[in-house]
Amino acid sequence: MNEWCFLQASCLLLITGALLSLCISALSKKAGILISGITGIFASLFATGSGLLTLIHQSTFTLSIPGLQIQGLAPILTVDPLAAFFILLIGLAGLPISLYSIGYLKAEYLQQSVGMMGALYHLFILSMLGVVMASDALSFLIFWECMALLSFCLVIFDTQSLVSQRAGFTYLVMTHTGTAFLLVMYLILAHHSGQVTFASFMAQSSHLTPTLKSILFGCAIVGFGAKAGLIPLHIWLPEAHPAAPSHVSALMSGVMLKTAVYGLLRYVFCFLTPFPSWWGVALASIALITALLGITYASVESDLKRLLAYSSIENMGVIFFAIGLALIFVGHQNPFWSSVFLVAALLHSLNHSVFKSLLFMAAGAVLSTAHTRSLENLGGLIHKMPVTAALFLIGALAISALPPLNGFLSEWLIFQGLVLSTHGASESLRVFLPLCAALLGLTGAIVAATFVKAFSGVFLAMPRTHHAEHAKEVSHTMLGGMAIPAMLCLFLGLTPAVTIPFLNQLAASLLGQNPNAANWQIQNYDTLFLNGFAAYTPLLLLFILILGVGLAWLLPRWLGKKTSIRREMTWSCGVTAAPEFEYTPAGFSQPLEVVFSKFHATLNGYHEYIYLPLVNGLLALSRRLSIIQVGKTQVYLAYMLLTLLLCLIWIKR
Amino acid sequence: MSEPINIILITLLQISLILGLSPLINSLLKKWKANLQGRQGPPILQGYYDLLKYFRKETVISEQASWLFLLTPLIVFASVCAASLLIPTITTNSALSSLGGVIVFVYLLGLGRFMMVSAAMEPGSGFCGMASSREMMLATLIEPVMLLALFVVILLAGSTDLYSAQKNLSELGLQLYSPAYILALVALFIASIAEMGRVPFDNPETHYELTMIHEGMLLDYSGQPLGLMFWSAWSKQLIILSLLANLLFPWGLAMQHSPVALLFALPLYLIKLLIVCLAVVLVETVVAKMRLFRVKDILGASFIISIIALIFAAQTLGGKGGIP
Repeated sequence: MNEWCFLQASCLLLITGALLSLCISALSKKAGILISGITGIFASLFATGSGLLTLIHQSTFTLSIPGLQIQGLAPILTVDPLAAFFILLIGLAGLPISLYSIGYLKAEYLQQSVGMMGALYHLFILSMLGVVMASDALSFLIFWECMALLSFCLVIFDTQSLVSQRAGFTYLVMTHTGTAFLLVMYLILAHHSGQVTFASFMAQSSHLTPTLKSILFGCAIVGFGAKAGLIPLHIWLPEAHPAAPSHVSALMSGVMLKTAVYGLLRYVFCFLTPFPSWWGVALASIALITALLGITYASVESDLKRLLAYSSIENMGVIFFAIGLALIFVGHQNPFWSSVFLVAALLHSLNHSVFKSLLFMAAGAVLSTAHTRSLENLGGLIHKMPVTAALFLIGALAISALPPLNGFLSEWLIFQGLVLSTHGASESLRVFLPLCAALLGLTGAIVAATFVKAFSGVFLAMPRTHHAEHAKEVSHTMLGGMAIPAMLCLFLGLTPAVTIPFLNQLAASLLGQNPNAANWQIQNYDTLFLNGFAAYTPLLLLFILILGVGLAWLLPRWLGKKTSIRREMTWSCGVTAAPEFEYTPAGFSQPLEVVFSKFHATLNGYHEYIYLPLVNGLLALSRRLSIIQVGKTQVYLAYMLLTLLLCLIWIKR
Repeated sequence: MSEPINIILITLLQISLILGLSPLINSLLKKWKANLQGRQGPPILQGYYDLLKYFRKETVISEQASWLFLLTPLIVFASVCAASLLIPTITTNSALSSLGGVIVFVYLLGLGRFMMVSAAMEPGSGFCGMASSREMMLATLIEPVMLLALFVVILLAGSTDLYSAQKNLSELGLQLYSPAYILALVALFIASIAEMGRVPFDNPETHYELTMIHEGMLLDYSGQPLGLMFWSAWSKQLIILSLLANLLFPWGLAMQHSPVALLFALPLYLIKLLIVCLAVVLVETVVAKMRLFRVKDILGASFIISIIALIFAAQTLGGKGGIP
């Protein structure tokens, strides 16, 4: 049971790390940061190891905490392959982020209470581990709430900043709205099964009426959708993620959003089966609109971290879209495509956590040295920070789904599935799936435009302000922290033969079917075949690209002659080149804004047309209700008496 | 011939065909266009002279340029080389069919574009930036159209790699030209003209501010990197023309790797290519360059056409098996 020991070690290390961080920072801040980073690294390593081993062995283990038996409500922690996958995800992101935090906190947060920050950071990771391990409704909700509150504390860590506080408040309200829906859904389930354990929910699943199931599914979409940032529940995300310290943003975008994916998968596939296929259509539609709108908002954003946050909305949209498609095909009893789409959803979760944490860390590196997040005020950093620029470029290429990096692999799976699954699908699906392919294609193309803008705005051309002029390359720990996910981007992109079989097994166990239903074949170690169709060989592609680069280097020298390189000022119609002549990031995205103006018009509509009326309605309702609030103790006692009487009558009835 | 040598030979043949022929085809397009406009036009070998000239010139780059600026032409060239292996030219018996299918093809072009657009932002010149921004705007519309149109092809052909698709299409006979297929070809043709950077979307002959898209991005390149960028752009043009030609007339490709079959396939391929070139030149001559923001209308229209084509294709094939 190595995996269980590793997980225990990881949890204990996180608790110790939190305490050590508090104690040591009181003596020396730098030592506190170092200790906190190191415990974080080891805790993540153990979590990664535990997740990997559980996935390899396909084992499941349970632990009930003996000291906490409360009237049959013992918290049960279980790790099965699904939980293990998300533990792996937390570990893989936590490791580089902890390493990065050492340098980042030293550069940015020495003036503030880093001990508290370290403690919150460790407990935040612990709460996420708790969420995926929890195996009864009560502990799930407790961990879920801890995760929300701890991340809220981290978001408002910059207590001086009014923006952070506002962002934190929006986050708090939205996350609790989501939790309220989750609570309702678990209460209904618990009412029907008489217990709060997930095992009892699972046993109960086939006895629920279809209407009740659909209501539960709706609750799940709102509850988990609020956490994942599905439009229109996304409004907190572009506020809260940028407001948090960058390593926390990386953790929130990279990992915390994935707990919503975990929750939805666990909930739908374990407690609500069997279900109709229109659920999938509903989820896929919402998710696809989220993806498309999310990226159009990102494309015109000029704040680097907000841009990344909007792009997280887009990616969560893509993940939920793939889950929605899987639901459709489960409803149609098509084990082949349901498992392909589920694999794509899982793979994209993993990929997104890797490249989004990389991009947020790079944004933090820029912020720590240039002290601005505005693309308009940056520029030219590639000369000052060449390594950060290269790492950001890798992240940008990966997130734009360009081969041979990892983002392409999941996008490839989804596209293949979308097109090929129309064969033999029902008539309405044969219209729905092509439409989805069209919108997803549009989304993918805008992603590339967005990240060209982000990369060129920050790193290329001339520095547009003195902030950018005085930037320097960041410390080695920060670069190391960014280099790990950059290498993972390449590794995951090149080795579908390693990842796909694991994910396929996981998807099969989740769907309760034979892992061979999805006919994956791996040939020559790296070629991925999907049921005889759709081959892709990333290693060969990389090899050919490298040969192509070699050819491009050789041919001109061979056909021409060896020439020299001279550097001159950029030609600017006879005037000395200056930053003012550059095309600014806002200018860069202006044509896009014109083309997609209809989409952009919705950007500010959520507050105006959804949230303000909702808040005003709530306020009006509470004013009405305040009639019963008279401020006299006797009256309140009378209310109590009345309530008691009513309850007694209802029970005796 | 043994299998590995065969693969290497066919791969080399494919790459050298595309790289070797692309300057000629580009000059030919220029020549024909000039003739149609009553001008003499450049000599037909001008492309090769230009390349040799660029490769002998000194490279002058901007002070603002970094490693990225010099690396980009190499990556763009490599992405075009890789893309050239994914489309059939004279044989349907691909050497590297498992390399990837249409999605890899479209995204490889995307990789080249990403790098080129980024690098063009490097010198900090207003013109390059303008061109980059416009290129990216066009790309957001071109990429989905190409993807969807090619999806129609793979649905109808029942295969995701273009080589087997080509073979299956040729077996369909005249039934091939179903409404879905024709619509897809129309959409693909419009997107291809935009992707090649030709009139009415862009003008490959000028870099005036009003028409500045692809040429604008190359303004700050010179010498060998410029030569590479031109060569890549021409090769990409040839790749797209070949794709169009072979989809329009999917017959006459060599089914196996025998030298005789390949020799017969080559002239047929060239004839098909010339027909498509003629169509492109006719469009260029008849249609005027469009205002930038009207481009989105016609590309949007081709996007809708490609969606309709895909729905048609899915509907016509829905009942039939083949792919589970």
